[in-house]
Amino acid sequence: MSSRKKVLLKVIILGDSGVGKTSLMNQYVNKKFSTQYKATIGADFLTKEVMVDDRLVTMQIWDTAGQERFQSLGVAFYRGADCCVLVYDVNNNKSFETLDSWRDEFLIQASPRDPENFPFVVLGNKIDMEESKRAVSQKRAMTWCQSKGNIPYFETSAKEAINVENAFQTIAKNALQQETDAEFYNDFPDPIKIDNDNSKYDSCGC
Amino acid sequence: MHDAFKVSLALDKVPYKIESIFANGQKLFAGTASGTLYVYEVKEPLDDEELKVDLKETKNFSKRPIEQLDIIKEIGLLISLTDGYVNIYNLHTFELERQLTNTRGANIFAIDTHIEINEDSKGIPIIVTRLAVGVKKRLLVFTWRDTEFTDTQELQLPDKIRTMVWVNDEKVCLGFTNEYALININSGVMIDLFGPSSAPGGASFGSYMGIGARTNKPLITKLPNDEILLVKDNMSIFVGLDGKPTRKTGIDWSGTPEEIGYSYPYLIAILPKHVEVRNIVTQNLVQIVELSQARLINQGKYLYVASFNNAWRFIPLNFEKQIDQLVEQNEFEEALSLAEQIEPILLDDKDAKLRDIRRLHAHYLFHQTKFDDAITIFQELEVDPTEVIALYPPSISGALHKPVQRPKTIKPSDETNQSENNNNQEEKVSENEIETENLEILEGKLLEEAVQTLIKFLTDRRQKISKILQVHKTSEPTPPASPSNRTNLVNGNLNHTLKLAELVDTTLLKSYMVTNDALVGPLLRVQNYCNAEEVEGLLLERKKYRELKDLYHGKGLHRKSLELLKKLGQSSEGLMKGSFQTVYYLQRLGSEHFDLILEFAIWVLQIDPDQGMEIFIGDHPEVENLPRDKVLKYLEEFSYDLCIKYLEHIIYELKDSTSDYHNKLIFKYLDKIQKLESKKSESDLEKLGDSILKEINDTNQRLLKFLDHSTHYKAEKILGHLRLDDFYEARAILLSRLGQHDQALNIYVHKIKSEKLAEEYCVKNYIETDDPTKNVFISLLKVYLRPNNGEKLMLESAIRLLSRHGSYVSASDALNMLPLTTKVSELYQFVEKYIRENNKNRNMNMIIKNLLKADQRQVEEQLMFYRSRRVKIDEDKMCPQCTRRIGQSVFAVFPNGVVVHYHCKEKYSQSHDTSI
Repeated sequence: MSSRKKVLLKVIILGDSGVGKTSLMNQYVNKKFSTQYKATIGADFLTKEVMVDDRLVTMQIWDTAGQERFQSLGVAFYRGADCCVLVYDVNNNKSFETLDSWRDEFLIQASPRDPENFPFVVLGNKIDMEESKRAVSQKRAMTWCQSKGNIPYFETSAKEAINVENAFQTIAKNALQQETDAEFYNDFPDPIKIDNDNSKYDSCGC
Repeated sequence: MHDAFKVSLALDKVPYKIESIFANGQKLFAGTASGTLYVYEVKEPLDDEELKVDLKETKNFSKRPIEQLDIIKEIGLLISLTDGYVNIYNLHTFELERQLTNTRGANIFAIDTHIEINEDSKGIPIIVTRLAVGVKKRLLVFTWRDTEFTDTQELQLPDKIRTMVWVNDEKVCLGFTNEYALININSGVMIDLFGPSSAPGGASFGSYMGIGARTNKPLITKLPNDEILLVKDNMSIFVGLDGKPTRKTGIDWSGTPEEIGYSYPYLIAILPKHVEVRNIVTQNLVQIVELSQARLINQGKYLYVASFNNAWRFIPLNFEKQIDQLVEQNEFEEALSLAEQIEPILLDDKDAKLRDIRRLHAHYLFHQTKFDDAITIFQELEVDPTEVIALYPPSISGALHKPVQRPKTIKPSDETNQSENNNNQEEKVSENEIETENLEILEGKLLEEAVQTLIKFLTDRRQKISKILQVHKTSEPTPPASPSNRTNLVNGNLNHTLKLAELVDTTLLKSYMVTNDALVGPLLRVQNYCNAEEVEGLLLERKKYRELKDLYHGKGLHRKSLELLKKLGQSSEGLMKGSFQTVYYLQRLGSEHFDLILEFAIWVLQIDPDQGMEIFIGDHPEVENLPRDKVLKYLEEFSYDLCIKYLEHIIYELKDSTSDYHNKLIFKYLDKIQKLESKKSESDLEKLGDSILKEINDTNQRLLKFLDHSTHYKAEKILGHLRLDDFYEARAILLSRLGQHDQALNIYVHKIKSEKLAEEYCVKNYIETDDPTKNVFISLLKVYLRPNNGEKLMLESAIRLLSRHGSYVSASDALNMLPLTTKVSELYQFVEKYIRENNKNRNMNMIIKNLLKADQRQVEEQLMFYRSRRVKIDEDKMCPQCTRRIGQSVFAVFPNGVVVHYHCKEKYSQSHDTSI
């Protein structure tokens, strides 16, 4: 691509309440973690500049409310997303089971052009907890991701900063891929026709 | 453009040149160049009547022209400007009451009347009237309180006033030859408008005004909302009472305005060629009236325009008609602007009207293929989705589709509007034709575009509806619709909302089918209200079986779903062939559909038992929670293999410790072995026999492993069922579970004939004990050396055992049991091992003993150290705190050796460091 205009990637984080969406974002952007739980209301975003394949891009990471009563986001909010991050808590089976409907609901709201190839990334968070509390096995999560068109899967801990950087790098990469694809769709200029209609101009007029 | 005013000739051929005009109520005053006042009575026409104007009176005020006329209605005065003086007449008799002599040289006046309530008036409202008069470079202000003339003010000005208007009760806007200014009458502060110090945008305007070769008459028009309109050349600029411009763009007139007036809600300007009416918000041209030589305006409610000898009355048309007219012409923005400006009292149900205009506008935009704009309006208005969907072709809207008919304005009183003229209706018809044409094009790319916007609209609606349904669900019984929930969606009862939800979701699905059918699946998988039958038909038609399955699943039609999957699964081709989909589906059904699971597992188990078993052992919480006893019973009917597989799964993977399952697994193993054995004896083929043998071995291994591993089965129960002539190893394990080591060892030695296994058994089950009857090695020795049932004595085995594990057995016990004939040399290894072991133990014990001794010494030494600390109290020993002898008193010793009286210790320790 010759024109290297500044790229803004819109990334949306979804998942049940309390799985650690805000914490993951904070860990990634601010390198901070708090054990205090504060429910997100509506949505909030942070931005971070990242290098993806020698390209500087700005990631706009939208953190959303997991609790239904705080979800006031209109359809417009989801439009133009470049990547959707689905988060669940590996120690909470229900939060995994609902990934399906988070994904479907996102597709409906965002109506991407090519839903089957829209980039999702799944994060299984809170792996810092003891193994005995684990409710969703890695195998099970990976099987699900595979069945949904090979969604990249990461096991993370926002608390211990495990795999967070890694996961978001993949998110950025896939989002950029999506963004350039979309550009290809939309911004392709009309071809200049050279083979017809130029008879009018071929004489210099003298 | 539409008709805002109906123009009627009011005065025709007045004998003298009209210099001034003023109207109030039914009275119309005209002042002429000859100094005569004409007073007319005007009968305002109703509907289509003609305007009737009668000359009531003529009055000769002067020989000079009457330049300006006004009244002070509140105190019954008529004010005129004639021959450089302001004269005050009685409004009814037209007798001169007073000539303001100090106004000599006046060229303009302006009146303001307002009501004041202040402390002086003790809360009683008083009418304050102020008359401002421009006299050369001075401004005189006369004030009346109620009917009483109170005072005169005089303000000096830089220039002669050419025009002026009161803009509020203390500010007057002044127009000079080249500039405008705002002056505060009370404080005398004057600000130049567009002067060098004012807003930068105005500065250029000001200089531009100054340069103008032909200086035009300055015009000031007071507008509502504290705006003032100022004119220079062809431009009008809007400014606020602070003198700052209020709008980005002014009005660019087609010529230099002669006069400008405001008549709610329009601006009227007399231009060189014609009279223009404009909307003051949009500034758009509303009406052009061709009147030759017009030059005077009486603004306000009684709008008149006068030329030299004629005057015309501008009668405002009914606003509703005006709006309707604009709507007919598709000038929706103009109609909206007009409706917004009109006071609610003048328009029946203004909100509904505004809504209606916007709705019609949206329809219009839609037919102009401006789908996005149209849908945005629909969305803002929260229009019933039914109405929007009906705009689409039947492939989307289904039965809702209507041949295009523009929805008519809701007229609250249609009957009264019967007079609506015919050509309006004709227009409507022609419009319909145009729209139908447009709709014909709604296909291909355009249709896709339109559907895309519909999807936007519907997803938005969908979210709103689901929120409402959520509320309904959480707060039953249905709360009475509160007035605040005015949206269309909430209005209806629950049933209505559900119907709407169904329509929205079903239409959304159909829209996806047109543009992006990959979204059909997600929609059907999340909670939705799609009409099952309709969608079923559509999906079948397009052979979208995967989505059909999702539909059935979402609607709880699991039987239909499973039948579909079975049919597709059993077919030899297609994406859905095979049992995988059924297995996946059944795994997620959960125990409440247990019977269905069993029913549809059959075909899978029949064609692929391994896959089929996944229904019962897959890694899913729903699968784990199936009733195990019932699953087992079901699988038993299939084969013991499946049973074993299931039992192994729940015992090993799910850690089920129910003893019944553990027993059952053992029995299943035994059954299987027996069945295999009988099969083996039946089959002659060597090859087959081999594989069966292998299977028997394998099962046997699993049995033994399980017997060894599990602690939950009932050994005695199983022993009873065990064939006596077989399963020796199993029997031995079971016996050992029951603590019957003798019998178990007997089996190892005599039945299995394996010293190795017997010894391993002993090593595994050995517990250190002094009681020889509990020592398994002794038990094994007994088996070797005290045989019963005619078994032969196994001296070599016994000696081998003793040589290897002699240390576990006491020598005396062993020797007692050995036959007397045993050679000592044979016992060499045993005895050597025994002695070495004993020596080892003795040496080890000595080391321990000495280590313990050393430890004891250390403790003793420490004790001595602590005991060695002492103090000597004699007759000379003094207490350092009170400096008295300690003598026989109770005393305290600090760690550093200081001795004080016991009662002195607190004080001493507070003031001294007492540590070592």
